[in-house]
Amino acid sequence: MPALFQDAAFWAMALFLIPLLLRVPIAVSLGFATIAVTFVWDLGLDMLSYNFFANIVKYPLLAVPFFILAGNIMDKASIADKIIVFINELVGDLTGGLAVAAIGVALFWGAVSGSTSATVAAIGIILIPGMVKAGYDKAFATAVVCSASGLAIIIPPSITFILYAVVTGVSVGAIFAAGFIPGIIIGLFMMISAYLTSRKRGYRGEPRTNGLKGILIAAKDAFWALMTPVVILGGIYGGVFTPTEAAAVACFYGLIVGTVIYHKIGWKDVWDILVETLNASAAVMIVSATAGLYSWIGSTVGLIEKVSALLLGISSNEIIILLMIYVILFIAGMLLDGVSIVYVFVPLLIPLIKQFNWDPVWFGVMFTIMVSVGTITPPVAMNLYVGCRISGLTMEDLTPPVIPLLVATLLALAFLTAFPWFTTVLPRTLGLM
Amino acid sequence: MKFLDRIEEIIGGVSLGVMVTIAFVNVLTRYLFKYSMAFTEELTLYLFVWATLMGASIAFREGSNIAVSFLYDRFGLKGRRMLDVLSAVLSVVFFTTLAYYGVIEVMDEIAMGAMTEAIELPMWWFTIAMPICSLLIILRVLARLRIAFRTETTAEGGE
Amino acid sequence: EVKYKDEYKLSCNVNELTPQGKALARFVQVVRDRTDGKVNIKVYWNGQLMSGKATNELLLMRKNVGDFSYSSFINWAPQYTPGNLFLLPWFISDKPDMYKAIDAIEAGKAGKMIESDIAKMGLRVLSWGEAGARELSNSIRPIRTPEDMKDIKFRVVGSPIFLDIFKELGANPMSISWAEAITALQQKTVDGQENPYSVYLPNKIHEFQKYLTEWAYTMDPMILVVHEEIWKSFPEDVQKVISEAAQECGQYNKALARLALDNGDAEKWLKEHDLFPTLPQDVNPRKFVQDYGVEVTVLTQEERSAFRAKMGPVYEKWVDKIGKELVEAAEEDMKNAQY
Ligand code: NA
Ligand code: NA
Repeated sequence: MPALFQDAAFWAMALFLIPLLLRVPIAVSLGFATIAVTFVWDLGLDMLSYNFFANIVKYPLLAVPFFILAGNIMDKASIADKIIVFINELVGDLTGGLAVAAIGVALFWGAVSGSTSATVAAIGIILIPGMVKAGYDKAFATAVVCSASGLAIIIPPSITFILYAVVTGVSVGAIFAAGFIPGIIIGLFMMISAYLTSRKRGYRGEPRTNGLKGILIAAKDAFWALMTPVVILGGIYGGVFTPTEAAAVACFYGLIVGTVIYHKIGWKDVWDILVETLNASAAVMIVSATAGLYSWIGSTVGLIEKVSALLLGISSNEIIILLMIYVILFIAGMLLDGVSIVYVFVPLLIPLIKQFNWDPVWFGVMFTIMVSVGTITPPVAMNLYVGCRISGLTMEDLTPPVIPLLVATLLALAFLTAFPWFTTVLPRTLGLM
Repeated sequence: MKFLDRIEEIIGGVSLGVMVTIAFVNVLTRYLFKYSMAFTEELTLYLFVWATLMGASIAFREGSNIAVSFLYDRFGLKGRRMLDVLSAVLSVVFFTTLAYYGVIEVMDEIAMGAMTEAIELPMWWFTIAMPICSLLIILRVLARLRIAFRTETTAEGGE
Repeated sequence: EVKYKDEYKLSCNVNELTPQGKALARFVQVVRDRTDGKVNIKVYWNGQLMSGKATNELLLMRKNVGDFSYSSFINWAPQYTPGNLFLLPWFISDKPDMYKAIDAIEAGKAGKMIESDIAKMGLRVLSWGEAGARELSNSIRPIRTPEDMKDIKFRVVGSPIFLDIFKELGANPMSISWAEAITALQQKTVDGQENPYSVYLPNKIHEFQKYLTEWAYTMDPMILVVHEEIWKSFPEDVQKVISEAAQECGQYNKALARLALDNGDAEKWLKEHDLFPTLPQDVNPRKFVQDYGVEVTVLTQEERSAFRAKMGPVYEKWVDKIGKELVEAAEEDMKNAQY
C-alpha cells in the first residue's frame, strides 16, 4: 500500500477523481490535480501558463465556438421552423409519420448543429407541441426528440468529433465524413423503433392541408434553410474551405438568411447570440485547456500507460476489450457529460486503439455514438434535461419511452461495429484516409 | 460588479465576433482576390484566448461550469455548503497559481521581446489574458460563495 | 555524491519514425547503456512537452521544464531571430555541395556564434543534426522555374520569412494551420506545401500530390541541447559519454536525412556503423515516391540560381534582422569548406 501512496500516477488520478465526484467543476479538478502533482514531484510548474495557453490555441478547436455560434444563429433565424413545416406537409397523416419525421428533422438539423442539447432546444420547441397536438403522447414525443437529437454529434459537424480529432490527431475532415452514414443508419434504426411504437398505439398526424401544392409552397419557403448543410458539407468536401472555415461561413450564411431572407434577426439579437455562444463555448474550452494540462502530467508520470496496461491485463481478446470499453463508456455516459467523457477517456484509450490496430477514425465514430447514448441515459442526461424543460415533464416520465430508442441505437452500434465498412467508406472515397 | 459583467461580455463578445469575421473574410479574399491574409490564422487563434477566458469568467459567475452533481444532489444543505467551499478553495488555488505563473511568463516575454510568429505582435498582449482573467475568476468564485452564505442557499443549485 | 534525476525530459517536435526521431531514440538508448542506467532520458515526441505549441520550446527549455531538447530553428525563430539564418532562401543550397556547406557553417565561426548566443540563454548545444532540405510539392504542375509558381496556392509555415519568399515568387502563400493542412491538401483547398522528406513521407503527401520539386530552398538543421544546470550536475565522465553519444546522434540523423540524396557519404556512414535502414522510403525517398507515381523534378544548380535571383528583397529585409555579422560569418565558413 505505501508504494501506491508514493506513486505520482496514483495521486494524479485521486486528486482529479475525488474533487470531480464532489462537484468541483471538471476544469478545476483537472487543473488542481495537475498543479498539485507537478508541485510535489517538482516536474516543472513553469510549464503551467505556457501549456494552458497552448491548449487553447489549437486551430481545429476554433470550430467549437464557430459551430456553436452557427447553431445559435440558425436557431434564431427560425431555420428549423421552416423545415418542420415542410416535413409536416410531407408526412401528413401517415401512421407514426410525425415521429419518423421528427427523427428526419433531427438528422437534418444534425447537419447544421454540432451539439446535441442545442438541437433538442432548436427543434423540440416546435416538434414536441406539434406531435402532442396530433395526438402523440407527450413523453413519447419528447423522448423521440431527445434521442434523435443525439445524432447531432454523429452527423457532421460535431463538437465531439472536433475534440476527439484534437486529442487523437486524426483529421477533422476525415472523421466528419465518417460520421455521415452511421448517423443515417442510427436514424433509420430509431425510425423503425418509433414507427413500431406509433403503430401499436395508433399515433397518426393530421391530413395534409393543401396536397402537393402545400408541399411545394413549404419547400420553397424552406429552400434557404434546406441549403444550409449543402453549404457547410459541400464547402468542406468540395475543397472550398476547411472544416473550421466552414463553421465561420455557416455563421454568415445563417446571418444573411436570418436577416435578409427570413427577417428574424436584428442587430440586438446578434450581440445576444454572441454572448450566449461565448458562454457555451467557454464551458467546453476551459475543460479543453485544463484537460491538456492534465494529459501533460498524465504522460509525465506514466498514468496513461498504467491504466491502459491495467485494461489490457483483463483480456487480450479484441472483442472482449471492445465490449468492455462500450460498457465503461455506457456507465460513464450515465454520470458524465460528453466533453468530460472525451477528455477523460480518449487519452486512456489511445494505447488500446494502437494495440489492436483499430482505425482511429472508425473508433472515433463508435466512441461518439456512446457519447451520444450518454446524453439520454439518466441520471446525467443533457438531452433529457433540455427535453424536460421544454415539455414540463420529469426525468422519470421520459425514461420508459426512451428505452426502446436507446435499444435501437445500441443495435445500430452493434451493426456498425460488425461492419466497419459503413463508417470508413465515405472518408476513403473522398480520399481522406 | 455590474461594470465587470459588461467588461467580460464586451471583451469576450467582441473577440469572438472579430475571430469569426476574420475567418470568413479570409475565405472570401482567397476566392475573390486570390489573396490570403496570412496573419489571420494567428490573430483568430490568439483572440480565442481572450474570448475563452472572458467566457470562463462569465461561466464561473453564473455557475455554469461543467460539473458532476449526482453525489452533490444527495447531500443536505450543510453538506452541499461544505462542498461549495471545497470547490471555491480549489478554484482559488488553481487560478492563483495560473495567475502567478502567467505574470512571470508575461514579464519574461516583455524582457525577451517575444513576438507572435506570423503577425509579430508582442506575445504578452495575449498571454496577459491568463493572469487578468484568473483574477476575475477568483473574484467571481468568492462573490458567488458570499452570496450563497448570505442568502442561506447553496452556490450550486444542481439539477 | 552525484544526484541523478529519476528521469530526464527530452523535448522533440517530431515522431520517432523521422530521421531525427530515429537518431534521437538511439541517443537515449546509448546514453542509458553507457551510463549504466544512471542517465535515464524520456523523449516527449510530437511537442508533447509544450502541449503541441512548438514555438514555446525555447521558452520552456530556458526554464528547465525540459532537460534536453532536439530542436529546429524554425520553432525558435519567434524568440531567436538569428535562427532565421538557415531559412535564407538558397543561401546554402546554391553552393557546390549544400551538405558540405551546412556542415561548414555548423562547425565554423557562424556555428560558434549561434552556440554562444544559446549559451547566454542557459542552454548548451551538444550536437547538430538535420531535418533535411525543404522541398516543394503541389497538385497542379511540375515546377522548374519561378514562373511555374504563379498563382499556385501553397500552404506555408506561418512565419514571416516563408510568406515573403513565396510572395516574391508570385505564388499565393496561404495561412492554413498544419492541423488542417493535410485535409486542405487532400480536398484541394490549397494546391501545395513545402517540407523536408522527413515530414512529407510520414504524412503520405505523395499519395495526393502528383508533383514534387527538389529545390532545397532552405536547410533545416536540428540542435541537440541540454540545460546548463543539468549539464553541470553530471560528473565529467558522464558528460563525456553524453557528448560522444550526441555527436553520433547528429551524424546518424544527417546520414538518414541525406541518404541517396548526397554524394554517397551518408550511405557509407550508415553501412560502416551497421545502421543502414531497411524500409524503401528510408533507403531512397526520391525513388520511393517516384515508384508511387510522383513526378519528381530535381533542380540543377543553374535552375536554383534562377530562383535565388528573385530573392533580392527577401535578403534585403532579412539579413539585417538576422544580423549582418552572422550572415557574413556563415558565407565565410561556406567559402572555406572543402567541396
Ligand atoms: Na452535427
Ligand atoms: Na447520461
